[in-house]
Amino acid sequence: MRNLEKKLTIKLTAVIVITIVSMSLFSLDLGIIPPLGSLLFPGNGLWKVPGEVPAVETHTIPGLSADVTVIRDEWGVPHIYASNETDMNFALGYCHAQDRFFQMDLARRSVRGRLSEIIGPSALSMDKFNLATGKEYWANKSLQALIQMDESGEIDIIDRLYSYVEGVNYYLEQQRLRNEKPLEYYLLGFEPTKWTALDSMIYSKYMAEMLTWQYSDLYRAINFEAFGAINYTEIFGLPTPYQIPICPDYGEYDAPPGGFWTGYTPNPSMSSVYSNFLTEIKKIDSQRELIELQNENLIGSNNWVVDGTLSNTGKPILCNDMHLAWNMPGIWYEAHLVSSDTDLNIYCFTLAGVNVPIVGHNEHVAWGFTNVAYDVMDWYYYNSIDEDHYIYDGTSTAYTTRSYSINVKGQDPEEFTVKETVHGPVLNDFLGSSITEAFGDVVLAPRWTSNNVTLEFLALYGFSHAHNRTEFDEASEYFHNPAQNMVYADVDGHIAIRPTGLVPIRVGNGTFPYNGSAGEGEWTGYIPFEKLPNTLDPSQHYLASANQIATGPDYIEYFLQNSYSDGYRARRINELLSKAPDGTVSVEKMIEIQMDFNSSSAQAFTPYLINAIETKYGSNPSDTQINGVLTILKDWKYVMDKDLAAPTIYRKWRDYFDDYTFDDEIEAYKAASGPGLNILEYLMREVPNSHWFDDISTSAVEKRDDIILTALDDTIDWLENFYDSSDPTSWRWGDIHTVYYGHLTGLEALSVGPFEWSGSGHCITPSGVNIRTGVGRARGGSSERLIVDFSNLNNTISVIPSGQSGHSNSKHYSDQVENLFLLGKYHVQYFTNTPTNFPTSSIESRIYFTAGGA
Amino acid sequence: MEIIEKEKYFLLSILVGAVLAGILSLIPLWHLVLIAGIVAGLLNRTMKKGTLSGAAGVCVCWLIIMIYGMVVINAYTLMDQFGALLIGPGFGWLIFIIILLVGTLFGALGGAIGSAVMIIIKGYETSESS
Repeated sequence: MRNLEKKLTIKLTAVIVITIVSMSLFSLDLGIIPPLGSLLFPGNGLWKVPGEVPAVETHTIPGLSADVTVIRDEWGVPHIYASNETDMNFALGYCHAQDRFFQMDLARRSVRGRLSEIIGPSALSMDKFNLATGKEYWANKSLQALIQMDESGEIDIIDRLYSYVEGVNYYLEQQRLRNEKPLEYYLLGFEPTKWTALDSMIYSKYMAEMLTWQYSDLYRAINFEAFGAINYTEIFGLPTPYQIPICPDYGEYDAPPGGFWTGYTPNPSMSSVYSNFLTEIKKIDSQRELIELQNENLIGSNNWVVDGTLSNTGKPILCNDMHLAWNMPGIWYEAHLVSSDTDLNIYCFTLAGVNVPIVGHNEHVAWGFTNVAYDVMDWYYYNSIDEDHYIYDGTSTAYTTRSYSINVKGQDPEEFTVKETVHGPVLNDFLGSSITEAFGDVVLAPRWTSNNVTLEFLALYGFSHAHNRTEFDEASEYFHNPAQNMVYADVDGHIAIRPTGLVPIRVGNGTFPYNGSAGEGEWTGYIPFEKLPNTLDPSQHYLASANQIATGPDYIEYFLQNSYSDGYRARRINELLSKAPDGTVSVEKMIEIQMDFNSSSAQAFTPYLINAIETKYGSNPSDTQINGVLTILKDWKYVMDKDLAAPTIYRKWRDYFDDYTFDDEIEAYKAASGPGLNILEYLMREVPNSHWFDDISTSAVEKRDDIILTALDDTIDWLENFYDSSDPTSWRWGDIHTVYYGHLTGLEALSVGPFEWSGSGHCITPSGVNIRTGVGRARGGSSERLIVDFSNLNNTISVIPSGQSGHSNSKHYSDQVENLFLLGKYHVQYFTNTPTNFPTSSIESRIYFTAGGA
Repeated sequence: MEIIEKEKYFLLSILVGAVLAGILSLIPLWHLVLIAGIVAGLLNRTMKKGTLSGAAGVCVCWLIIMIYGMVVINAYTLMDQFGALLIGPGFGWLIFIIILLVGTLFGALGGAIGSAVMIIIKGYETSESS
């Protein structure tokens, strides 16, 4: 018996040891992979991730004053029917949190410098940058200003914001009680925390950074110093060529580039300081990404509108597609909001986290945005005296400071103090010791219009309630930052565009950094709203913006901008709209334009390539490969079709042509960058013997066609090698040009794509890629497409390149991108103003919020 | 029927283990699955049967929960995504099998512990009564 007991005890001990070891293994935290037991086993992790919303939900909410009904349609878009806007906002907050809370959480953490808390020390530099730039600080000031205005009776919107916040937090509490949370929280190992009104307010600063924060003043100064005034003016002079102004009321440009650059010469000794600063700033992920997106022309947008004369309906048709980085989930969240007390009925694109619509239409007006690229930020350098003082305008001045304690996962909180000059935060002194040494006694700080009390919330609230142009204009005045081209149409037939925002009036024009110690470049005020450009009901019957120059040469009162898009998208949009006969532009035509893959840059460049080939080899070259390339190019209609080889040849050749024209000088002069593509086009068309075409590393003097043909030779070699085929017809564009929708965490497993796709960065529907080293993945482009038909608002259509849900296990996670967006399709916006009239077959789920209860 | 009659305690222990595993899955502490196995094991007189009952109880319960989860919250999509994170795309099925096997393993370990403890207790009782 004892023997048996002994054996049993040994077995039991062994089993217990195995159990402890096994359980420990499944409790190990492996970095990005959390403890497998908590993640995988039923009752935990994956099994507690919210997916599809319930078919019917009922909630009794003590804070509501009346019942609210939410209907989600077949795309998961919530249609919220309320008796008053406060209750409506509660429901919107609930829906945002239900579908997108992780995205909201990540955005607020990013802007408010709280990523280190969940990621660890690797996010510290990003947190410090975000806190230093003052976005949270000024969002809070803006919120306090709104609260004060609300308390004084000037406005009445704060209750709506608070109600929205309550809706978000009510959902979070319900989720907590169900012991659920989105997958990302399990993977990253943190918990959702309550939403606040300030979290909502930070979005305007978040968008302002995305769209208006810039380092181009520094790049320009480096280039000016490197190239010298004459060379600089030749390729960076303003205005850049072939611009079609957004507002047609201020004349047209016919002069070549090379206009006077600024009338101001930057300090040459500062170039190395700027270079060092830029090298360091690009080590911060968010800033490297921002610079890359700006360089790839991925941050932009299109909007256009035709009036009843041009449309086939007799009423305006308005289109908008805002171009931003693509992510899963996408940045926009569609919603239909109805409140009977104010007769509000609006279908809109919202930002999850914000209670006011961003773009959309109500029953009276519609509007859409593109980025205007007004110069709203200047850089200043100063001589520092000591840790606490610097020289401003010749006088020793004390820095002001802001202090933060940053929670860091896995270590003690980091204390962080931001020093500020009279203009803005000092941004070079937390970038690392190497940069501190390189700067010596110099400090660098930007002044940015967003670092102000700004009232975009008031503007957006006003837009959604506007009945006509006057009311819309009144609201526009509050839209401070990011400055936008606001295209407008209304049910009365008016169309308009207004590039607006807070634009500084300064001494000089902000093209290069200023010497703050010498008191240069002071802002003396902001351009009065009524003095900003604006066009209403133009005689051409359409208006279009695609980030090109805002005005023509007749706008002379104030300096507005020193950078804008190279203008290829604007050129194509204007070409298509200006050729359309009266009474012919339909919604279908607008779809065609929004999905246009014709490249106006290809249209400009390719004839010169063909001409150079024919000049050298004749119109029927004996070399079969050259002949094949020539035939492909001559047959091409400049459509960047994924199944064609011509786009591949054109694009690869154009890269080489651009590189071989400017890279030798950039390297020799130690410049930071070359000019935009429209400058190369100008030189190619107008100055074929330009010195820029000469390869300065050779003794020969090359001209345009020499470079065109050298670029072609290298293109053929590269493509032959890449495609492993000498047959040019096999060089498909889709094999090298793809689109990709990366998840916010960067995890491939939760991302969508890559997909072969037509298009390029210069198409109306852009998908810019870098194919210098191989297959390119476009990671930005249209973040929404909207076509508003004022003859029948129920015929209004839209699409987003993701889906409504942020949950990767929901059918609405990527349904729109895969079933609509990539196929050039849209969904109808259901616009009925009562839930009873909602088409039953399109109802997927319902939420009933009942007022009352304890 | 004869087999059922003969093995009724064994089958009952599986059922008890499965029900308990289901109840314990409502508590967000996966380690408790061991208790389901232990209780199932306690109802058996041999370690072999205890181990089997614990394993079978948890396996049956988890299989039901997982199928339910796949239908209701698209859990297979999540397993597929997690498989892609660990191994590569298309391995959701492997994650499914691993979860089930590991659940079965913990059920078995719990069952073994439960039955061994019960045998030892019974042994003491027998020796004390004799």
